[in-house]
Amino acid sequence: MPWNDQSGGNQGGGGQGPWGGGPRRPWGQPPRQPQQPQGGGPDLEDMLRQWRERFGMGSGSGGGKTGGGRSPISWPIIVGVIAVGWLLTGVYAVDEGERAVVSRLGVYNRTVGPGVHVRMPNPLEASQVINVTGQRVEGIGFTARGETISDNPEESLMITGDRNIVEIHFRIYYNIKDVSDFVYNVRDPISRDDEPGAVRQIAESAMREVIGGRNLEPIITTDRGAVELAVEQLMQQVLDEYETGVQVLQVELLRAAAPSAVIEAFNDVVNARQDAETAINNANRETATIVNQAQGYKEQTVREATGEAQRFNAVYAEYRAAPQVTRDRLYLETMERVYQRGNLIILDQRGGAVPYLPLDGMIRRNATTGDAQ
Amino acid sequence: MMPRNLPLVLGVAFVALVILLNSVFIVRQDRQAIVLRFGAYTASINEPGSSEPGLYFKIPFFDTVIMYDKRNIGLILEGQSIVPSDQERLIVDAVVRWRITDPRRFYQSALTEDGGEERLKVFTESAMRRVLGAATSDQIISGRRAALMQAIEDDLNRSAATELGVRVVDVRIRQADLPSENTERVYERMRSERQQVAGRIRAEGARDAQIILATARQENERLRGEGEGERARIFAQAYGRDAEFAAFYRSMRAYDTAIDANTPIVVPPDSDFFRYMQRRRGGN
Repeated sequence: MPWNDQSGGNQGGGGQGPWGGGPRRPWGQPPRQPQQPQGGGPDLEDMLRQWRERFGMGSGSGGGKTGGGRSPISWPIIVGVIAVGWLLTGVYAVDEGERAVVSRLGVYNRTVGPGVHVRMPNPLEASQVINVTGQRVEGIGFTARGETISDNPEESLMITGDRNIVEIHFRIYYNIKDVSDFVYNVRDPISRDDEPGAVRQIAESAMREVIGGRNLEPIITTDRGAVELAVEQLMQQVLDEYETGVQVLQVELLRAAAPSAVIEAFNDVVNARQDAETAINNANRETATIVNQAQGYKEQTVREATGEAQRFNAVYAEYRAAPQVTRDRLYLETMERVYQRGNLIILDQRGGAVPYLPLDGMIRRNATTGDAQ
Repeated sequence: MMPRNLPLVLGVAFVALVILLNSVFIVRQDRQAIVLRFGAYTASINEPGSSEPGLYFKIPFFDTVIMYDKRNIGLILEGQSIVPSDQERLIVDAVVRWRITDPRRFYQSALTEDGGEERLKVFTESAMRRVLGAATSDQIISGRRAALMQAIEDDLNRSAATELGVRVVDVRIRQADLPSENTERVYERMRSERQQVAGRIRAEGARDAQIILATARQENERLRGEGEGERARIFAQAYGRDAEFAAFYRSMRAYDTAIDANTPIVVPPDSDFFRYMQRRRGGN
């Protein structure tokens, strides 16, 4: 590269190259023109005469017309056209959102804003128009082709502070805050083709540094915003240190997740949480049933007891009024009900010997009839 | 101007132009140059520290101008295998940002930018081995990354800078990863860790559910007990007013509920129930 450069072959306004281009042309062309009519034999005398005529005419007002119909355009006009063309190389336009850096003989001269501008023609001054406000973007960790996004494991897999591996896809949005810094200070500020530029290199390095200082769990859950902010700050710090003239607008973390090789195990943790919650929900549901039943039982028991007590109190009140009568009545009423229901056998022992009582059979018979009921 | 002299004039002009072109050169803002006269160094132009880009003159055909970049240049070192002090091998990618600060020295030792990059690469590799080899892999990955990068930069500036005529502006470790054969083991561990977490969460869920149910059963017993206690109190209060009658009354109720249909009952005719029946009989 440097060997080429010494011959002045580098791009745009550098070296001696342009001298050989533009300005030489007015000198280089004339000798050729007279050779065309000359045809075969070298008639030096004739050639010189034509030259003389032309130069003679050039000082006159008429132009080349008297020089014969052979050459309608005269020499001064050619020079004039070329000169105007040359001067026009100094006219350039800068769009809204763009800035141009102008260098004079290779030296930074000025930065100009939008509009049409004039500078010295080509080798003397050169201009470089750069979009500064337009948002530029760099995507890292993935390749996007249309809608499909494919992972770029070499870029996306990063090691975390707790020795896990995380898959990160992110984008850097940036623009240019200082054109002259951008143009003059760093050789490769932005990526070209497959060559990663400084912005990309710094982004990758900053992200890895930030991820390396944090644990996996927070990175993929709560700390996403913090990661974005930390990367943005770290990047800006380095970009400023290099004087790249680049301003980071935003760091966007698109994906921060466990690598696909282990994603299943991570998902199972989520499932486990659901399972645990389900178990707890079920237990809570059963609790509601049990406790409500118990409350119902308590209420029932108390109310029944209260009811019974009230009933007793009522009867007792009567009993107090007429003890013996009430007592007898209660006894008889109860026995009446009981004997009605039961299978009553009246046994008179007065008759002397106890008669045979087939109790077994009676009970069995009653049991079967009882079952049948 | 006499037309006769024209070819001569043109010839002289052409030669003059060639000589002129060969005697001027432009050093751009972002470049630096050294001038050699028959190979011997005579001057440097626009090297860092002295800002003097622009148009320069030289002796045509005698002087040679060599141009170098003045800007910050990136050098990427990919896949450096580093063995830190804890013997856990790491694959480290780094970016070295550098610039030519002494073009004369650079010309002497490297000649071209490509040559310089090649030399710097070798310097950086050994600096990385020295600095990172003394650190632990934990420090490289997280803890002291920034400090280690600074240490490599300082190391390089001590050695490479003087020898190559460059200055290393920054060293950034882009990646510091485990080699692929270890990666699978990391994944295995991550999986087992997650399985452990999942198992713990499920067990905790089951435990919590069990506790909730046990609490529910406790509450159940407590409530039932409360109810029964209350009942006992209510009864005690009611029946306590007349224990004898209460016993009679309860007995009556118990007979009523305890004896169900078809229960055989053997009753002597002289029971209280039949008292009047007998009196009547006796009266006959």
